[in-house]
Amino acid sequence: MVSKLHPLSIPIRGGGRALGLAIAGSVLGSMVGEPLKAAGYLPVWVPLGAILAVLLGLGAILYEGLRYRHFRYRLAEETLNIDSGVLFRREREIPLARVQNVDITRSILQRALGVAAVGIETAGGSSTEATLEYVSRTEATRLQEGIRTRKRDLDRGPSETETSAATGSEAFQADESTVLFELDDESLVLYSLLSFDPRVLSLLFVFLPMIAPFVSPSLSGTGPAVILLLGIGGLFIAGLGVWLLSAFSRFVNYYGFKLHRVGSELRYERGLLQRYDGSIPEEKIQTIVIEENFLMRMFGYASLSVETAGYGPDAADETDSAVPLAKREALLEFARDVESFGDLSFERPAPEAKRRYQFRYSLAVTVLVAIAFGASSLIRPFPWYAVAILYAAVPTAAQKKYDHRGWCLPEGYIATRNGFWRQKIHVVPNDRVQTVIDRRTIFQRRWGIGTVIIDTASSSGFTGLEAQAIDIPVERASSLRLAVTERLLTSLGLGTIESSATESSTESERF
Amino acid sequence: MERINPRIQLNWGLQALVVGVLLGAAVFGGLFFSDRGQPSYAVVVFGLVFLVLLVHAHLRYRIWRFEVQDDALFLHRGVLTRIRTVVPFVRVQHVDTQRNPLERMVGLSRVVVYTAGSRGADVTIPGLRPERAEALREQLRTLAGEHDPDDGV
Repeated sequence: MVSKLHPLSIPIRGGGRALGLAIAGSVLGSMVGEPLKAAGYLPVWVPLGAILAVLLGLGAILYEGLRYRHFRYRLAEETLNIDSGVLFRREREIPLARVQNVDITRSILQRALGVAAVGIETAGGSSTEATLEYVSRTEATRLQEGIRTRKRDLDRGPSETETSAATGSEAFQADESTVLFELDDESLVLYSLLSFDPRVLSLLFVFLPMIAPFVSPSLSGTGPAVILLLGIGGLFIAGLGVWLLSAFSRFVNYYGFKLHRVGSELRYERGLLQRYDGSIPEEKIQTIVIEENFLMRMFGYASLSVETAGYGPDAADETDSAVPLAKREALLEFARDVESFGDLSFERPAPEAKRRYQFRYSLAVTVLVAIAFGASSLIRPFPWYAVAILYAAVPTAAQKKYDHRGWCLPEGYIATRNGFWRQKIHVVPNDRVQTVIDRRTIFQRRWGIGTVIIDTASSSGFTGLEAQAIDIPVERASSLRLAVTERLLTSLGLGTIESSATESSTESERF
Repeated sequence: MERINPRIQLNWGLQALVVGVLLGAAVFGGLFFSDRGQPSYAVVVFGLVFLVLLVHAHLRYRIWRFEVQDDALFLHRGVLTRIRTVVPFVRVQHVDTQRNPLERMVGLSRVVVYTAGSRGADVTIPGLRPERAEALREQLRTLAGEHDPDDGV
């Protein structure tokens, strides 16, 4: 069955563009028209701006109409075929086995009109593979469901017994959705307040330069103490503002969060104004990330996200949240339900690492003291040596950093832990490892330590936030490197000894 | 463990020369237009940069090693930061040989190994004689093909 997009796509997509182009047209028209009229080339009564605006606006609508006419898609047995393009025709066949996530996004307007945008993610590339803008709400769900059942049937085909044995026998018989997690109102508010949305920071960089010119002239002529107080107060207010903004953003984005399991797929929906509805096939999970910032830790909470090789709908957020906020124990239990890793008892970095952090932080404080001294002697004297009080914090900071790092090898998985302010535990299934990198900087070599990076196909690896065992003794680094490679090969049924002799059935599960 | 061809030093040495000349020119320009200090200091800057990079190029060559093991490609490299990379053959997506103009000049070639990983997406072995690069590419391709096509994605 060949399908077309929803006819409302033309006004929704065209409307915005037409408006933009019309404005541009009217500006251009009056800019060009005035000199022409002044020189007498054009009668004064011709509204060139309005004419251009109408023409360009109509052009945009017409283009969207043509796009709509030429856009066809068909969900076949093994592929999703999309034919599109007005000037340049494009025919695509996306193998369903390669599809990572299917996301449905609906803004407030689109919800009112009953349409949705469907994004289909495949591995590789830094953008969404295909977007259907827009289809009806029911069609979006049909596609998501259709892709899931077809993938399941493809999986089942050759090795039916193994797959169903691996995923739990009843999972395939009953395909109705079971709610795994629901964020209640209390937890939502708590999550909004406890977590921090990094996207808010970019707003700050937009607004600060806008505010600064208004603030600086009123400060001239005031004493340094006032400026210092104002500075501290300003920082405090800015921090509070950022925190509230972040809480607001989290609240709006995670309103009504619900996670279901349908067959072997995780489905989540969330959002107050813009509604997201995404699917994550369990067999596509690259890494599980358990994250907690220091606020969450204080209250015993943590959040869980899963990484796939696809490019998620909120790339700025790095991952798809599976459970935004839950008590730590409940969360771990849930995580083990998705990937059955055992006990995580982390081995700490080398003891030398602690001395290294102490050294590093002392150096940082020394630099600060030097800056303070410089400022004091060059600009205006003040008790610069007060900054040295920061030295007192060095041992604690080093100890904390040390305590929050670690790695371990539970059965079937590789786990690493990093970060104090924002601690992340990465759990990588053995058979998800792509390459193993063992790095030793010149400083690390002096201490006899090194870092092992476990590279996967997960898309967040591009930002350098992947599983890393940092500052472990060199001999541990070497053995970890070997162990991880060994584990990868055995998990794929390619033991080092009988190398490639047997092709095990475990591979089909993960594909 | 196999080492790379010593001629690669010529290649990296030329790069060092280019960087040295560019930095020297920038310093010369700065000194020339600000009329502070001798513009000839630029020569000292050039000399220092060139020398440091030349030593770096030599060390880089001395340290570079790789090995085609039973089930993985192993690389060992890096002067200041020592990096050992293990690329299991199962994970190899495809293998290329490449030659840039500089490499063609000194008659060298490089092998690039691609995986689906986000970080080790391009593992490069520079400084190979074209025949060796071809052979290595074929060998890696065969080894990658022998192993399962599952790419873990």
